[in-house]
Amino acid sequence: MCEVKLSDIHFSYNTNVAIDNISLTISQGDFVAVVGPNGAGKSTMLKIIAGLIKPTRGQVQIGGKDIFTAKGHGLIGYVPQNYGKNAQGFPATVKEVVALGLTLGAVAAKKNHQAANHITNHMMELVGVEQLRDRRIGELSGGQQQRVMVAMALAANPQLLLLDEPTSGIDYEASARIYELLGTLNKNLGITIVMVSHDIEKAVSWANKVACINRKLCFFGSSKEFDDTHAQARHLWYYTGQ
Amino acid sequence: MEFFQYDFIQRALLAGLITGIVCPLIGSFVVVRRQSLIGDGLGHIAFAGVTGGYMVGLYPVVGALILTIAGAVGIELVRRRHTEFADMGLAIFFYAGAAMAIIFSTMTRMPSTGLLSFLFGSIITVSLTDVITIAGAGTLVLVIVYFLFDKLMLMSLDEDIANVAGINTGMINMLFSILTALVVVVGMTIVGILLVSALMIVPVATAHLLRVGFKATMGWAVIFSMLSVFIGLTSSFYLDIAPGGTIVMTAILLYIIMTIIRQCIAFKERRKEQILSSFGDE
Repeated sequence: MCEVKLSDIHFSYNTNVAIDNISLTISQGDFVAVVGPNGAGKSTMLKIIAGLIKPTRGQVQIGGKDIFTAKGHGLIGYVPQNYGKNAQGFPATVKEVVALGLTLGAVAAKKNHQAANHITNHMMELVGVEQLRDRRIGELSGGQQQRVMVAMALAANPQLLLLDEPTSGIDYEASARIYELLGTLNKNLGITIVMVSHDIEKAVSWANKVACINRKLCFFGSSKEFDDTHAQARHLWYYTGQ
Repeated sequence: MEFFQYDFIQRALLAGLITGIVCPLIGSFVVVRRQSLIGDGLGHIAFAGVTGGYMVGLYPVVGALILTIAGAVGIELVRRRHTEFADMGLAIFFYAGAAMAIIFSTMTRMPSTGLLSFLFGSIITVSLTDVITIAGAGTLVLVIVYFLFDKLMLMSLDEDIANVAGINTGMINMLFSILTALVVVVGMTIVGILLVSALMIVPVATAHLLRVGFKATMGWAVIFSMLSVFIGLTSSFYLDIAPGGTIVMTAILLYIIMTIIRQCIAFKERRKEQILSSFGDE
């Protein structure tokens, strides 16, 4: 089980409150879209879930364990924001990057060369980058790079996939393909997905749950409920957090 | 060949080739981590270590090793605290090293020939002890890079991903800084403090032009570096010029040749595309 439980999470940079008492539970197999205005604390919340930032107050539990204990068991796959900036000029091929994912997860698979090769090839096929296997990652488009990063995260066989703005700076068609890929991974492989997105309409249409935050939690429920809510109320949540 | 008959040349070649392997090995990570000037910074600190070591009666290389490792640890600690201005911290250490070296060299009576041999390298006077020390340090670097290769590569790509996976990024970064310091001190004996960074960076830059994968880039960088050491050393022997400078100029020459070849290939490809598209128009 990979239930994600946030209890009274509070985080502040000096005196600026970024996250204010957020509590929510994400069940195994959920696809959660985290939405909200700029500076609402979406990425901060994702980093807290990933264990990259320690909250000022509160606790994050993954599968019943504290995040700092759960980290390092290959449970969590993380795809950061603005990944393309790091990839520029990076001399690794797509296959080398995807194979790096094995470093994140099962050591046994990495030690067995044949198994490692099989997993790497399978992940590249799964996200549709197998034809780019020998290309250098820095030479790919933003959408292709993002798919490679998802494949790398998947190579570790994670139960929880955290994505920070996976479609930022990507054209409409490429971002549609990324959402489709995430939807398939969630439905077919049962991977729990938490995705921060600015693209509210698209994200909500693929996710089954929505967390709307503006420093505090404004809404957490099914995407249908979020969709059915009066547009004006949604606008108010989104921009004012009331 | 007359060249290989001399003991000092055999020792110089062996020490040079080991340096030629470890410098681009560490340099491959240094370049993708965008820390290309760290070798220069540590080189200046090493110079302070040489003069400081001589001043307190230590073997200068030991003095350089102690101060360079301390400097590398300091640079890493500053980098962690000021991620946005990491190069600023490096610059401060760079200047501190140069300033200390100037102060120590005026306080001590180290012969200028000794100072110059550390500044410009002294491959011709490499002793058997130096070769053993360089081989030991080189083996240590090779073993650590072999076992940490994937983690170092992942951290060079994105440190946050490595962190989420539970990799102790702080410990590995610190270890990598210490390895870099070790390579600077090893390289210092061969090509000198002023040029050690070049042997870490230039062969890697040449290998990047081949546009191959990470491991292949690293392999080619080692080949270019060893070629530079061999050609540089041979040329310096026959032309009677400084070996350190000749090795680095050979590495730069290889870079220029590879850039020209790359440009020619790109030109040919563009031309081919133009011809094909003109046929298409017709």
